[in-house]
Amino acid sequence: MKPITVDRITLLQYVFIINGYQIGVGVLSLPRELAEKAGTDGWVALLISWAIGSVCGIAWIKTMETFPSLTPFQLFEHLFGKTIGKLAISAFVLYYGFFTWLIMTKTMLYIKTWLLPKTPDYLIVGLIAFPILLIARSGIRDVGRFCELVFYMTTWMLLVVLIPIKEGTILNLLPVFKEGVKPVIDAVEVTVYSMSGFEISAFLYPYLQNKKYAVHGMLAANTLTMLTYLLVTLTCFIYFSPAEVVEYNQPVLNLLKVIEFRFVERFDMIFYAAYILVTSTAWLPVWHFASRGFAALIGTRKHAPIVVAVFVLCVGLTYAVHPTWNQSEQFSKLAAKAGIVLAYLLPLCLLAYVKVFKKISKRREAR
Amino acid sequence: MKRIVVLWCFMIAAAAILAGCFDQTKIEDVTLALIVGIDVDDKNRTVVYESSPVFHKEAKDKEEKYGVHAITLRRSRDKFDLMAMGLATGSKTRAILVSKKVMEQPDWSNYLDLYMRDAKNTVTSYLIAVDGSVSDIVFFSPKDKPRLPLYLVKLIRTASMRNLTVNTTLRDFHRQMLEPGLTPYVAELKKDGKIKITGTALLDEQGRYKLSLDERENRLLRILQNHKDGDYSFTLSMPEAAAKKGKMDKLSVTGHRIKTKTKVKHEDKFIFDIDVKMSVIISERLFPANVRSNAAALEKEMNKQLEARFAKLVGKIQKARIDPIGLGLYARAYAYPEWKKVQNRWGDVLSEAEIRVKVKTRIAGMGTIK
Repeated sequence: MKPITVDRITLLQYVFIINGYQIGVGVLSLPRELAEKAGTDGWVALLISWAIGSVCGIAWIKTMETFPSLTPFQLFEHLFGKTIGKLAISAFVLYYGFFTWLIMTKTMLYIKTWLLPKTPDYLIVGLIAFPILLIARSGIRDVGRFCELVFYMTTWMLLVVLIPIKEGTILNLLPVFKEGVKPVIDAVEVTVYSMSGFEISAFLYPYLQNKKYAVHGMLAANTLTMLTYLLVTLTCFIYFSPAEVVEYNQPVLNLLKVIEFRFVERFDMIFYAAYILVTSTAWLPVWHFASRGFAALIGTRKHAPIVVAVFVLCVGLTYAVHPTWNQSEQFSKLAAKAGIVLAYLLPLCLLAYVKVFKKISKRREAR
Repeated sequence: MKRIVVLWCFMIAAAAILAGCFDQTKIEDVTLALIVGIDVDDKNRTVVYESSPVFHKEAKDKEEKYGVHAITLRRSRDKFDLMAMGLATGSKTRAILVSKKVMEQPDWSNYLDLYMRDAKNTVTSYLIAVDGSVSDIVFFSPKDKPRLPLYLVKLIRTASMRNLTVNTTLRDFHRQMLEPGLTPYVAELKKDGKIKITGTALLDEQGRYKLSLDERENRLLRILQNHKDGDYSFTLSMPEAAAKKGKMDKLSVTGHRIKTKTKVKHEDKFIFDIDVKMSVIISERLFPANVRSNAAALEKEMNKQLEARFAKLVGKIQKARIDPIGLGLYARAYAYPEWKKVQNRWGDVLSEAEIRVKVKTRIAGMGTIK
């Protein structure tokens, strides 16, 4: 098969796409979910899931390295034959397609709660998704450029989150391992879902210019994500009291509500609007690859029409379902389960399979 | 050419949809409730007050004030809307006044749920306890002051800079209510001819009013809380150093670099050792003394005086079975197993605990004259 030559991404773009995809709307409620499971010890679970995620990410890249010129979609067909390969592709297309809609919905819900309660949901989805559509329908390089740009444009937000920390107390974090290790292990379930997203490195791998650094890039993105989560979570735990942090649906947004400058009072409003940029990089890559996957499924190389179709489908689905908070949380749980299989378990099996597959095909050639 | 046409169509469509979406509110249609007051009348019915500015040339009085009977704050909005020019909104509320009578009822703080839940409302408004009737304050318009919301907010802000009272906002209060190791404290006002800050009102875990501290005790409380911002100034009686008693034995000092260290241990009961270290600068002295040679003696007497004041404050707090200092936080952090057993009745447990406050002052300067 023809290797890809034109559409290439740099290492930095690779890092920022993975990082952008990992950090979406979930981080806003992460401190609460962690505190519900493990109190203020929840942050330890982030470190654990970072390690797990990195191992699985390396497995993905090692798998891809064995066939450096194939995209994962081509790889599935190459390894398992047409039928099972197509099934595997469909699984990813469904997962990514659903994920695209889910993150759009979640973004819409938080905009609706905090900014525009009266505006119809499908209109919000349409408005926030349309500009992204223009990027998703072009090549992966544009996706990379956009993610990089957004990263530079939004790093200041992390510093803003730090502002209220001086009013909190570090006493909230003590003692570490209050109730032993078990609650922390329970909380890993939550963080594993937040860390998933590194698997997109496998899809990006064929387009990466300098493939030597694929593992480094994935680890860098994973670490960046983990540090972001850690910073946000610790800030919330230090600022809010342990009994309080579980009260807020999205503690990070409540944190912002107290930030006031002399020149602008409701600073949170600016933050919410700017945060749409951050969430947009979460659904952009999955949208792109869901479309590419579907294109591979029906055997065309053009993914642009499918991107548009996904857009129409997402807006239509929002119009038909009118998702509520509770629904979106149920959907998230569903996606989390699929994510654990596809992002964490699959690469380990795949890597083992590929190693065996290579040996067998070598032996066949030797004969 | 076709592309340009498509682009234009898109831009016009976007401009049409985007203009404020469906949530636009015109600023002239809004009545900003800058002050909200909650009180009960003689028949124990809840009364809600609001005060909002009027932006209109023809209006002589630039402030509209209302008081209505309402079951909840959200219900009161309907009633304000029936009278006020615009749509009442809580997004800019600067102060919430609650009368002591309301604060004596259990669960009164649930009224404030509206502010925590509705994302449009602000959470940075001051929460203020009112000794007396809220209507006296809301309907008060002194001639020598700017409009009431500005005046009240500035009053609380500047007084808390000198640590005469606390600047508890709604969000702080929410935290204080939910935190088992801390009981709430809010600023307290009284109208006695003029509006006057009387200090700080201390509440129990359910938010019920327990006791009031005056401005001098409030300073000590802030030190115990390890609150470092603002001025700390003390006027002490020094009969030993002055070698006489009476009006002229006073020494005023300003505290700098105040460090409060709290240690906790548990032996049958909780024992708290609080070490307060501060450098002071003498700002006023009404008796002759040689600070150069007698600094140690002065420091010793100051320590004694301050320790006595701290002990009195701690005794008061323990008697009321509350914990505005937040000692529960230390108990949780450093004695978790014991804390866990008693966290639901922390106030009672603390009243039996031993709290020892040690003060160590150091004279850093005597001012510009000897």
